Amino acid sequence: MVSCSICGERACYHRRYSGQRFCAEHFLEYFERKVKKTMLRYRMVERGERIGVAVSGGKDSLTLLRILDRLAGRLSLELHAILIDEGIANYREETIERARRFCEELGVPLRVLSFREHFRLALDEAVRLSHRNACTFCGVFRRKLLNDAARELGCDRLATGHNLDDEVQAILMNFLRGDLERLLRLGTRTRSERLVPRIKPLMEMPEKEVALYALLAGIPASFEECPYAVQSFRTEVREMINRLEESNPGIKFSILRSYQKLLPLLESYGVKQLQSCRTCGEPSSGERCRACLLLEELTRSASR
Amino acid sequence: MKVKVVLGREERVVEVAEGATVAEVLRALGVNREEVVVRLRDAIVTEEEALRDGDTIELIRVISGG
Repeated sequence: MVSCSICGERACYHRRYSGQRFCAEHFLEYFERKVKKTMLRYRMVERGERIGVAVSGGKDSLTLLRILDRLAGRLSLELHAILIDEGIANYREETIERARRFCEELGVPLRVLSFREHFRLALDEAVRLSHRNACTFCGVFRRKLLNDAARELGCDRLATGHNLDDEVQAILMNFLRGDLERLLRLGTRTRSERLVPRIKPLMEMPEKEVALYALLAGIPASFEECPYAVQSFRTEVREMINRLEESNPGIKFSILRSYQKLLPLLESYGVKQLQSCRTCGEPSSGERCRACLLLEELTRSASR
Repeated sequence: MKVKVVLGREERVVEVAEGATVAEVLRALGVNREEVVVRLRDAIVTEEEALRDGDTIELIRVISGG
């Protein structure tokens, strides 16, 4: 039997990058302590703030909600869960139900916004009308609705469930594509009053640890994969990073730290100023925002 | 010895050396340990856990959309 480094009980996790082994109880304790430390280190929240929490019903967002809920009392935080229903048949219904049940259990109010209601079409329909892949629409429209909802609710911050793996994948993807503008945007503060500042409390937690936390804490999260998840560039990058991590434990943290050290240099490269979208008035890096451009493209396809 | 591996709806039996660990089974299947959590006899275990003949391990994929 493999034992916990703290109490000698049976271990359920070997944290290879530090050599420690944890039983279920000590893993849960370690995980919560570390998320709290990350939030303090990056000064993610201040006492008394109203926090919008983006939830999907998956392991990352429900784990995030549970941890923020446990900290809410001590820090006088007011939580509002926000869920975006993209309109993905035979997938979203179940995850929405899981999120709804968990929010009820914690007593956190939930606001649900849908693509259909706000853009007049579900993601499934957008995909049928376009040659683009689902993730393009999903990412752009979801970010917009999350920000709209957080702003309407008067949130001081918008928390998302991005974990260490998500962060490191994004860093390498932007680097490999030579997209310095996006690489820079990943680590810089919001540049518009209309954008609710984002926080990522799980950004230093490896994906495997988040999944383990969700399982051990009995969080009713979905482990189903989105039907639109395909063999993409992100998948290739993820597999490459995980191969490296397997033979060099801790490399995901090294990539994150290298990025953080490079950030001041990247900033001297110049942060592009945001302007207001000519159509909707929302912050945009170009004359018109990506959401308006995509919607126009879809309307044209629909009328053909 | 033989170990049964369950991943979602898939099941397969792997032949491994006596006293093999979970990590060795994962390696034999080409599964990266970063991408799964392993359940053995109703408990989640580390990849260093030694297996017995006839054991069943369940692999839970941690990469999920959401």
